[in-house]
Amino acid sequence: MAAPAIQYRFDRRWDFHISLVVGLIALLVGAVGVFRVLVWHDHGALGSYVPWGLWVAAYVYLVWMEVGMILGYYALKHVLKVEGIEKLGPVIVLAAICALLAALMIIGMDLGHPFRAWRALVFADFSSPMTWMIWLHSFYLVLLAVEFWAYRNDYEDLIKWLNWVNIPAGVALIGVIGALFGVIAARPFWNASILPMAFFMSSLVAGTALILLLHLLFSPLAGQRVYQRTAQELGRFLMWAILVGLLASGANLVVTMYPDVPAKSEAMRLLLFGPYWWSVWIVHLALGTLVPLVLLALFRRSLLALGTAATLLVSTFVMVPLNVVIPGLAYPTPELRGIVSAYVHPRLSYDYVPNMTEWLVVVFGLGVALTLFAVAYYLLLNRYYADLARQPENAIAASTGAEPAPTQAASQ
Amino acid sequence: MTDTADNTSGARTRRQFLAGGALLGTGLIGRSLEAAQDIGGARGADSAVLKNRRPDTPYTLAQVENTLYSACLQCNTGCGIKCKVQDGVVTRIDGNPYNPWTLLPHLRYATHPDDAVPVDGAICPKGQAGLQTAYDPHRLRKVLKRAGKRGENRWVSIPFEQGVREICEGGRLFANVEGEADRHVEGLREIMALRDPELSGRMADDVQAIWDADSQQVRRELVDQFKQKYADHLDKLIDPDHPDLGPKNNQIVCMWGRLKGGRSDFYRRFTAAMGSVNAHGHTTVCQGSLYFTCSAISDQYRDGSFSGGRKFYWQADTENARFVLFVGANLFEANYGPPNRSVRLTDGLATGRTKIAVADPRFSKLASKAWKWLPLKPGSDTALAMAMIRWVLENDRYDATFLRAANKAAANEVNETSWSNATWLVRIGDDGKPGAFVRARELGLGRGDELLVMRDGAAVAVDPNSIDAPVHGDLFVDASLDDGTRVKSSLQLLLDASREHTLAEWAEMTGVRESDIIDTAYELTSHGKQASVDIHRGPAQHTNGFYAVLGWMTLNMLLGNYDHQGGLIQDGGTYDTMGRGGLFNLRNHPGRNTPFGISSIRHGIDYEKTTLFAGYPAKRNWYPLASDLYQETIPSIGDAYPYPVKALFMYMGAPTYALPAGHTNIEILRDVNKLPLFIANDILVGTGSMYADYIFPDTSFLERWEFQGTHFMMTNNVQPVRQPVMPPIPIDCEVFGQRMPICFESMMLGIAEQLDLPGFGDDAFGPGLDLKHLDDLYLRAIANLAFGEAADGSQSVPDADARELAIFEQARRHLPASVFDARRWRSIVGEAIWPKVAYVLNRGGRFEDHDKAFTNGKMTHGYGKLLNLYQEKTAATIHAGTGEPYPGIACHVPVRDFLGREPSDKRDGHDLALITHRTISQCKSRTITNPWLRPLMPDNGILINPRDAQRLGLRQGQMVKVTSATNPQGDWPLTDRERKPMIGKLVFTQTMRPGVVSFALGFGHWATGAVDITVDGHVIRGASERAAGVHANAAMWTDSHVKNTCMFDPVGGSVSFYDTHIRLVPA
Amino acid sequence: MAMSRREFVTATSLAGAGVAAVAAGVTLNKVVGAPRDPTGPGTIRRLTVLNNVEKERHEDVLLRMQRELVKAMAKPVEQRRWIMVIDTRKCVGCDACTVGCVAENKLPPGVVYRPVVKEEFGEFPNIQIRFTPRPCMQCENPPCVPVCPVKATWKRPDGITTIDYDKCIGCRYCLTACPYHARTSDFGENWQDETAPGGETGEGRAIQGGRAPWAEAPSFEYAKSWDRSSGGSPKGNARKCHFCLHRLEVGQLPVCATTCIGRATYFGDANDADSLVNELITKHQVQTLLPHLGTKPRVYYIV
Ligand SMILES: Nc1nc2c(c(=O)[nH]1)N[C@H]1C(S)=C(S)[C@@H](COP(=O)(O)OP(=O)(O)OC[C@H]3O[C@@H](n4cnc5c(=O)[nH]c(N)nc54)[C@H](O)[C@@H]3O)O[C@H]1N2
Ligand SMILES: Nc1nc2c(c(=O)[nH]1)N[C@H]1C(S)=C(S)[C@@H](COP(=O)(O)OP(=O)(O)OC[C@H]3O[C@@H](n4cnc5c(=O)[nH]c(N)nc54)[C@H](O)[C@@H]3O)O[C@H]1N2
Ligand code: SF4
Ligand code: SF4
Ligand code: SF4
Ligand code: SF4
Ligand code: SF4
Ligand SMILES: [Mo]
Repeated sequence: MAAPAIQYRFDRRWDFHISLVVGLIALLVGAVGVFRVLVWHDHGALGSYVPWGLWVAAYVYLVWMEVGMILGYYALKHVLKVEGIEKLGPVIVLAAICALLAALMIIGMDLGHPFRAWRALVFADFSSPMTWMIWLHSFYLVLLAVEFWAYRNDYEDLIKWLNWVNIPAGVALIGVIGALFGVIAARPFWNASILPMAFFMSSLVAGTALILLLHLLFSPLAGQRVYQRTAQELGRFLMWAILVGLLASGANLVVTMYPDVPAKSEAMRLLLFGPYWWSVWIVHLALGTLVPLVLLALFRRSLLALGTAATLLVSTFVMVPLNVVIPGLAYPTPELRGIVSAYVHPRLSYDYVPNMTEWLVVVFGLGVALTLFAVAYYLLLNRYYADLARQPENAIAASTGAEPAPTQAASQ
Repeated sequence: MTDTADNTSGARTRRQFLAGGALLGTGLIGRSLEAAQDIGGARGADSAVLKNRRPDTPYTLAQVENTLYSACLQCNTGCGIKCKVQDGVVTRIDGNPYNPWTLLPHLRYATHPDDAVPVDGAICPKGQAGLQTAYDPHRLRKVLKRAGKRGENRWVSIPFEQGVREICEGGRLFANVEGEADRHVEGLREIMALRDPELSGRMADDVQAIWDADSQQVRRELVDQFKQKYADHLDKLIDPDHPDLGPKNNQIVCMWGRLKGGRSDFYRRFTAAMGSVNAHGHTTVCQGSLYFTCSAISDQYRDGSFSGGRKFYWQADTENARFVLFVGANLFEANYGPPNRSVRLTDGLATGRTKIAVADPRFSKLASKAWKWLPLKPGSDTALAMAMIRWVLENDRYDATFLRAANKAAANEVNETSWSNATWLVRIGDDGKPGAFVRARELGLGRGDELLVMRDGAAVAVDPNSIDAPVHGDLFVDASLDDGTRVKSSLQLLLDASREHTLAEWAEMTGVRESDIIDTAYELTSHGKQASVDIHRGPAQHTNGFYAVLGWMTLNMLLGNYDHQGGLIQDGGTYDTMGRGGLFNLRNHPGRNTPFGISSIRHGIDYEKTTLFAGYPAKRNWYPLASDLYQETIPSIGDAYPYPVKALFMYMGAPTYALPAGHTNIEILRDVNKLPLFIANDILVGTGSMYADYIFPDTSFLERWEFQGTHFMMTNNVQPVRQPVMPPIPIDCEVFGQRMPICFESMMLGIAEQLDLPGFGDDAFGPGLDLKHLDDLYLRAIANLAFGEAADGSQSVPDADARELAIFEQARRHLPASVFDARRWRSIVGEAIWPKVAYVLNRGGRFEDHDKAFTNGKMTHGYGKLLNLYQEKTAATIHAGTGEPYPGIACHVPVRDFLGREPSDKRDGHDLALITHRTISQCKSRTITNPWLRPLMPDNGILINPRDAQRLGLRQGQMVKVTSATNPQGDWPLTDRERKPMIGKLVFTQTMRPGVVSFALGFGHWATGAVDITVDGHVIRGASERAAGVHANAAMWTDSHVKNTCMFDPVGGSVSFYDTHIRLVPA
Repeated sequence: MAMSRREFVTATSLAGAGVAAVAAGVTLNKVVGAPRDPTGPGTIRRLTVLNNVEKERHEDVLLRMQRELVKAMAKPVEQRRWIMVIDTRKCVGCDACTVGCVAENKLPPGVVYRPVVKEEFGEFPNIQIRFTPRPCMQCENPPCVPVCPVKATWKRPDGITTIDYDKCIGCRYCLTACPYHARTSDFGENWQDETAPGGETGEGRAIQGGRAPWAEAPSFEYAKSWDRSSGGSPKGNARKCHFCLHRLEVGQLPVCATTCIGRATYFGDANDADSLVNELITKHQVQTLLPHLGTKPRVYYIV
């Protein structure tokens, strides 16, 4: 039986339209938050004892997702040789770029002096993991831009070549973000050697989920059987990634609790059984892990289920960095426990719950990502996929061994 | 602002650079003289500390021309302060190093200001935040007149002159206010019926005669004679049938909360000029019985009777002590005050030189440094003191040599300055009760009014004041004299009183372990005279305050530690400002009435001597042994007893907030029939002044003059001066043709001008000495201070040199002319004394050097007089509630109401004892306005031991309402419409004795910028932070007989702060 | 499709530009960014403070320490080694140091350099309270320094950990790194933004109103003028105790020492063998906070 013809599609306009519409709404809504930060100098619920919160978590989340997506993509494509995702490359790179820019925007809001951010490039101190983070982030952005450009121009050698730089850079970026927290001896909860590893796992999980989602929404193979197959395959990998991720979290838990360094185990206890237990148990574990696992395991044929699983995972995943960042800060050093009542101010407290402004800024960041993505897709990738579709030699058969299908161009 | 550099460059001397030191400090001056300074580095001026592109700035706060010395008033300690002016604004306050409150030892007085300026003294956080009181946006600038009912907080601002005129001339002043359309308010002019110095003098004498009458019969006759004699003038009296109520002028009452020297002279002059006897302070809310018991202890025996006691108290010389037992004294958070007392104690504690014990139901910060904490039950001080007295007496741990000395000569012989009446013989009545001391002449011994002691079993006469006939008596005497008179020595009476219970019983009553009592008494008596008991409000503010204080002070007498270095001390005195040296006699008050009559608070006179005597119980209490009864001023007006009052001035007080059951004052103040005219002087709309008809704005403590005086732990002779250091917030007014800010003094000057009061205006102090500007009094007073008390000027301070004179003017360049005008100031005192005035003001007052405080181990300015262990006068005074005489010796007295009943009914169902305490960051109504203090403790709570909370099923942090038998609804009735519940959050702490709860003073305000007020039609919004926390005074018990007043000590006058029992109701 | 030569050149030059940018950045940062503290003879201060105040047998320790300070300032900065000794036995928990520091450095709400931690132990009647004032420890091995991405904070030759507010980007990384919570961030809040609003303005007003002038005054930190009311630094910056460097310059002790009513706070030069602080740390078994972290604080506690 002849395999059905594979066709690249370029007419999935509604996808980026949704992206555009959602993005613009997010921008509009989120602008209130940005206004509050920039004009009212509302710095959210952050304080000096919990100096980092939702924004840093959102940054980490976006970068994880971005790197995880890129690395996952390479792994799926080159190592695991998943078929049907080759042509998703530019979409992924574009999404990655947007995520990086949104992350920058959000973290910029977090700075006391955002307009001095350039100093981090010019007057960098490389003893700080943050410097590495900033540099790697910037470097990565440049790389991705070049890669995107290469994709658009089909410079495959360059793309391959770039991949060799990209992979270590991505690993380094994740590692550095892990180190950003891990080197802080003052915060025992963070100060775990396993943290970068855990971060890496997390980023792969999130990235894979996002690849699945992008595949479902933007794959030029949509509507063809290989599209469905690829989706299922991705779902399977995602399931494994989640399981490995769980294992890593478990290991992290053991490593944190086992030596019973009070500050660490207390923070962990605070995390698991404190006032925000629901963020771990309900949001992260139930909604973000178990439900997707179940969906992926039991309904792997349903695209809707796969999409739901991926969406759930991607959207709840922000809890993971949040639950790394905050418990590390929110547990007072026992010796200084009285410091909160020594000088009372809302910003000198261990109780941190992100406020509306913070959420709005994050929404704005997502708006930036989505809008950018939509606009760039429209301007740069629409044509690209259209062209692609017109080039018979790019038929998927080349890599799948399936019969070459008549392309639209050919049929014309 | 004036440019610093330009203005000083002329008068520069080498000293100038000492101030700033490096280039930074001296700014432009420094820069131009870098070479001379030899500062290393070629340029230096930039990036001296930090290299970046931002230019360096000189540290102007260390420059002498930006420094003014004054005295704090964020609490009554009045520490010396150094105000640092930055671009015309006071932005920093530190301690004045010349002033012994902030540096130990303080800088020598002769130190040049240039040399002193780099030295900062230490002051408490409230002191440093003081500038926020002064710059508080809620401050008043103009006179406010009530536009709604009293307490409704609706105001209009009116011109100063209008305010003065309306108060003086009266009329239908509040015709616009609902219900007052037809109310005619009597003005001061009308109330001041008697304006005849000569007539008032004669009447005063005749009233005195009425009081001195031997019987009511005679008294009635004298009253009749009086009425005949002054038949033409009876309309000038409050009540012709009771001429001893005095003239109608007495219906003007002038009260105050916190009033210090200079201003007090002004206020008393003002009251006297109006011919009223009623000038009353707030002592009894503070630690009245501490003052008045010590006054009774310090009465001297002259001409056969006891008089002349000083209103003061003794404290420990913590600087040199080996052991101190602190009783209800909150040294590190309150007292007078943390900066001066802490520095005099911590070094000894750390080095082990000093050991302390603390008796307090609450584990205070002080207790955290103590060797032993005695967590006594509130109100049981008399039991604890009597327990220790018993142990000390029975174990021979007292200073027998000291106690044996029966007169001055004997004291001197045994190297003491003071002596007690421990050995004097007291007549024991048939009922077994001690009466008067036996006069020697009754036994045919001695001369004149000599008294009697037993020496080796034989009675001998003793002249207590003799300097050449020493008499050492027997300590314990219980005997019958030859004529059969049963006598006991004072000490014997004490022993008897202490044996009323066994040690174990006393321990049980006070709730302290017997062994702890003994250990403490042992330690107290193990350090010779370098040990003492230092007490404060804790024992004093009870219905038995007088006897608690007497018990503890008696213990000190047993130690014989008075005037000893390391023992018990009094203040080293204050330099005179009123002209004792003869420079300017500021006491002179030509042309005034002789005020006479019973005071509105019935003090200083025996009930029985007055024409109001009508048996027992009296309608309200009488206070022959106390004065300044804060709790009496307004409630007596409410009861119109002894007479109705028509106009009340209230300066810097909030009795509504400060008093226990202060809400009873609100009810009276709100009633225009009980009090027709009420004028307050405040810096803002306060918790008391909000009920006034008129509020005259005042200058804050940073904008005004005052003589802060001293405290009883300050061994040096001193006189700190409060002086204007910033431009005033209130606008200027014009009085006697002179411009000055609207303030307390200008209010009085304005009224004096309007009413043509004697002692104001032209020749107020005598020929050529006017009082037209407030500076006329203050600058002359400072001239007196500088001149000293010797007529020949031999005790005057040096002249300020030219450099100092230049500094003087420079440092005041930001003050407007209505405040500082060099020409005007110089002309007030005259050129001759001017440099001395500048010398004093450049140092923030006059201070003796530290090493002068003690001479040969004893106070240089010590007490050196008789100490009344037994008080004949007290024993002869009758309790106006019960008709019983008061005990004359330290003894145990339970908590009682005016009728002598223990309030067990009020305790029923209310099993938590309520006390209150101070926290370092707040002071009554004065500091809630200071943002810098708020983070230290944004609100108070109800402190409770978790054990009690558990028992009552209450949770940490839970909101609870405080209710008591006399305030079952647990709230403050603020107006008809508004009640403020006493709700606070529970704070669990092991620092509270179980069964006792406490709250910190200074929170729970309902004015002072905490609520919205309407002024000239604009709503000025209050800040909720200022209303934070709970103020539970309204839960404190009212007396069951004198219902509109809190419980009180009938002898020493103290109000009861720590006797109430309450219930906590979850809110 | 293979890469054309032109394209390859483009790509490599792009990558090259990236590398060059890195290299340039690193170099530039070595040249420009490295904090260079003033050192050497230029930092000698010949202060005459207290020269005319005769030394007495019994002096307030404040005077003794101030004399020692003057002596230390006569040495170049690199020869000074400032330390603080806090005698908790003398600390009465009064918070004068906390407020003094807030006032001196014009700290806005939520910024504090020296809180005094109060702890309660035990059960009635066996209870105790402990007070621990907590300035910056000026760690010898400060974990807050290496984490700064922009070299805005560093250790001076005299041992004080400094922040250059003009460089700090406000990332608050150092806040997370300091185990003592000694750094707080200036979130731009003001005292008295909302006090007595609603009244009339202008000369005829009855109630003062407006913002109090003290709230607008610039601070003198690091001997420069920092005017928060203009909106710039130190708003948005990390802030911390600097041992009152600006006062040391003119011969004055840190405010928390001068205003310590218990005289529990000692300050001086550890390199001066005769200094009081040296005497104290040798005589007593002094402790440091969280010694296991290896930060080597230069603030010592006598307990
Ligand atoms: N719960 C509780 N209550 C207490 C105490 C306690 O320990 N616990 N302690 C008691 C003691 S010891 C005392 S002394 C009293 C004090 O009681 P008060 O003397 O009545 O109180 P103050 O706070 O000194 O003064 C209050 C009024 O003065 C105003 N004021 C402030 N500064 C100035 C000024 O410069 N000029 C003028 N004209 N007015 C000014 C304030 O706005 C306020 O209206 O409180 C007593 N109340
Ligand atoms: N921070 C601050 N300082 C102040 C003031 C202020 O308002 N705030 N006000 C100043 C004034 S006006 C005054 S009068 C002084 C007051 O100075 P203090 O009298 O030293 O201060 P209080 O806190 O009123 O102290 C009362 C103490 O008595 C304890 N106590 C309560 N009941 C009993 C009892 O039955 N027996 C014994 N033995 N102790 C008991 C309380 O727990 C408390 O520790 O403070 C002055 N200094
Ligand atoms: S103790 Fe009282 S007078 Fe002294 S500085 Fe503090 S508030 Fe001012
Ligand atoms: S205490 Fe904190 S801020 Fe200070 S030097 Fe050490 S780590 Fe840095
Ligand atoms: S907040 Fe400022 S000083 Fe701290 S790490 Fe960030 S840039 Fe450096
Ligand atoms: S040394 Fe100066 S900056 Fe540091 S805590 Fe003390 S007062 Fe504040
Ligand atoms: S000022 Fe001194 S006594 Fe007061 S809290 Fe600070 S260190 Fe302790
Ligand atoms: Mo008081």
